[in-house]
Amino acid sequence: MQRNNEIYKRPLPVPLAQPLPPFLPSNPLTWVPYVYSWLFTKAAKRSTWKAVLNADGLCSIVKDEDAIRNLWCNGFLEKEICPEANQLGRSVQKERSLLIEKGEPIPPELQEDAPMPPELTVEDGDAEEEVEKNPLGLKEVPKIEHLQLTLPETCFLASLGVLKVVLPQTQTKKNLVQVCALISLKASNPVLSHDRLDFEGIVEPDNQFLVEFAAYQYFRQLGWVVKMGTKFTVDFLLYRRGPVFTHAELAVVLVPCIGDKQTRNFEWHELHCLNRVISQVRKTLLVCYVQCPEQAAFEKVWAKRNSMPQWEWTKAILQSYSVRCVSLRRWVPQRNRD
Amino acid sequence: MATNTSPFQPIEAVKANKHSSFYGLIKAVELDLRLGHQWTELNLHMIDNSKGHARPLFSGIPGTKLLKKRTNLVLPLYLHETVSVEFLASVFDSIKELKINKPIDERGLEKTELYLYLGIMCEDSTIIYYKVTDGLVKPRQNDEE
Repeated sequence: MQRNNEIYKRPLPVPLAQPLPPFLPSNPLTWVPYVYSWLFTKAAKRSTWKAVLNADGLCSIVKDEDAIRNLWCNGFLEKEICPEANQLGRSVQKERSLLIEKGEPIPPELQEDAPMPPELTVEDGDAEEEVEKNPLGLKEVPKIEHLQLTLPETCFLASLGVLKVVLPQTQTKKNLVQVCALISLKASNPVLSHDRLDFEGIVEPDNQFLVEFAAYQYFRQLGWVVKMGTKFTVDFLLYRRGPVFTHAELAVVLVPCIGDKQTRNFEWHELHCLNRVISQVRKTLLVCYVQCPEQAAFEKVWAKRNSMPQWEWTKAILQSYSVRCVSLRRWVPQRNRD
Repeated sequence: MATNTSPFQPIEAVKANKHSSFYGLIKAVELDLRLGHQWTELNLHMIDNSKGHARPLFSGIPGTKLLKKRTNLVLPLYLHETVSVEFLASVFDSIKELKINKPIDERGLEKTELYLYLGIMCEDSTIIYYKVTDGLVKPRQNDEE
């Protein structure tokens, strides 16, 4: 637990300012920390990592080891693809990750692509036992890990300046948010698209990606760690500190609204089932109404995408979205008092 | 189709489908089955659905002890796709025409119902599996496996 607090102490992969004690103009002693930090604090180092946008998988992929560790430890971003290759590979990886967490140097036997320990590759008397431990007769432990970021996470990190996203060849002239919105539009009709890399289309205000991105930004800014909630049939799961510490507290369902109308309506039985499932896993259901701009206003801002700087434009788009949350709980008159 | 020799490489059929609109789906589900759940003898089949479009379908033998070691089928889907009963019925009809060992659900009422797993891909690489049987199924008894 102590170790977890150490490893995961930074909430974001961006250096945040340390809080200073309160400042009182009448008491010169309180000026000291401020003067000190102004004179002596160096600008913290900011790293930028590369990610490749993968439209097929509706995600972006990060392959750099350093980036992988940083993005997971500072904000629980992304899902690690760490398949259990074989028993040996798994135990080696486990040892390796324990050492990484401890911050110790990795001995050469456990480095990636290291040759297997000689006891396992050399034929020896007890042949059956050898086969157990090394069933595939591998000579090296292959390196298969990469990290996957969802589209809202990618745009969030890119807007912070932490990630540099490589767009597919045909789309380099477009903004990241624009490309993501188009990918999401195309993904809703996978069969009808002929060219795999052709993202064209009219983006509506209630585009799935834009709604998700607005809600993601909203919850992230409030300090929640946001992960996908498909395992519980909801859109997002909100964690207070991170998946490593506690289970998720809130399960969020997104309901985009344009004007007075909701574009996603729940039948009574659907909402009831959802509520039952969520309360069985001890979470609170949060219905998040994302108010999208009207078509006309949205198109006006959307049209400016090439004339404004990229993140200014993104800010203008997102400012027209607002978020209202309502939590749902089942109330039984005989049992509930409040 | 030949079984792949190394479990760390995707099966040949995945690479062959590089230009189809389902490439991301095929790649993700195949990776999860092969390495996450240790399925062997993975093969990719293309079957027709009711509207005449071709869809991928995986067949293979599970490696873990929870499922029985015989051919099982996985139909990959995107999370945002809506699946209709008509679609599933056409998938089951196409399966009946394939030349593979078809998985029969033992708890089916007529003992001839096929079943498959829907492999639903999410953006963060989670694949969620649901079992679908083509017909009525008796509820599981406590002493069954």
